[in-house]
Amino acid sequence: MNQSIEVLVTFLLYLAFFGWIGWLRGRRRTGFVLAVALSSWLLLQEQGDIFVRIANLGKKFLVFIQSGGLSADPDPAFTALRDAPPLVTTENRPGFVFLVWVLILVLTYIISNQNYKWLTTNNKSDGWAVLWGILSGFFFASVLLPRLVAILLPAGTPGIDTTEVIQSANLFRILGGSLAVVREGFSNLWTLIEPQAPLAILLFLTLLLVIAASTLQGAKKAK
Amino acid sequence: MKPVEAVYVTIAIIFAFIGVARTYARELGNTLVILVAIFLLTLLEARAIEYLTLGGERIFDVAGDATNLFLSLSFTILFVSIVFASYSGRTFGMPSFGGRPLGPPEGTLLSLAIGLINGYLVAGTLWYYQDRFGYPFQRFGWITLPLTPTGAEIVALLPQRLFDSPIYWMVPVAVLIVFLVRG
Repeated sequence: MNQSIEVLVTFLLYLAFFGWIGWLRGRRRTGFVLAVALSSWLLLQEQGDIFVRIANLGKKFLVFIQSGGLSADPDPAFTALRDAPPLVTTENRPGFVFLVWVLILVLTYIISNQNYKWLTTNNKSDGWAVLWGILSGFFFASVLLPRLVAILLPAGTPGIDTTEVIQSANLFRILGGSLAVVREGFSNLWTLIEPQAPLAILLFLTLLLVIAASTLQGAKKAK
Repeated sequence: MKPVEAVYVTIAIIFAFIGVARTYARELGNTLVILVAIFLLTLLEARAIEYLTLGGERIFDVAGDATNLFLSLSFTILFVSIVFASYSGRTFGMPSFGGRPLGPPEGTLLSLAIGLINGYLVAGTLWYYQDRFGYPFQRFGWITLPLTPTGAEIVALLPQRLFDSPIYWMVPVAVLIVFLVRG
């Protein structure tokens, strides 16, 4: 029971951290990164072969040049070109696509940190910024978490196929797992506080009312 | 027939949507009035039952099994009247908390939360006045007994059953009055 509460707290902390990052960066910057990261990931999953072909063509071009393709006698270069193995094969395609996505993500973060007008205009730190941050946390968890499993459970661990873990993870599985964690965690938390349920409910309701009323106080003072 | 809790949870959800539409700036005023109503009705419940039973016997010839229906209806109508008055804002003249509520999404979430609180208080009270008097509405076929295990768990958490004394409900009332008076 305590472990599920531990998992719940860790999960909420993880989301709070991303929400806080979103708050710090503002809604435009956070939304931009989320939109690019999500759309590029989906695009690479569906049309990643385009980048694979580009990478393999690039390698063939390099082999061609290095083998004297631009010299007077290009025949050895053509032979080398024919014999050159592809850079990206079926086995390493998922890893290559992932690296392309990481590159796009890094570039996106660099661009989003610049002070372009379209990024700084209306770039408020508000609830939307927190929400985009939290959604980013969910999305990054679905992509990065399975790969981090390899740190704890390296390849060759009995009963665990790291490749299968990475390939079977997706956003919906993370969402479903998250809901299960939240449900179980709160259920066990309720079991712990049930003897004091009336007091806990009273405190929770009062706190909620205080939070709501205090936001209005701020608005009144501004007037 | 659906379980009892389905009816009252639906009422609570409707109040949650009303809260989102009205925003929490106005809903907090209703919360205050509803809490005071729950406190007073619970505190004076025994005496009210005594007077209502007497009045029912003498004025409406209510006796026997019909007494529970009469009492349940009386408390329900009284409570609904108070809630209606708070929402219409005329009878008690209770001002809203005023101020500008936060915009979406924080404001929407807060409005939903306060609406849910009001829904719990209102639907919970209506359910209490059924449970307290032995579910007299079941004679009309509106409610199916016995309660499900979930329903039995929720009944223990109704506003009137949550605390041994209704005085605990004055804690959030006092907090809201402080905010209201400070302005």
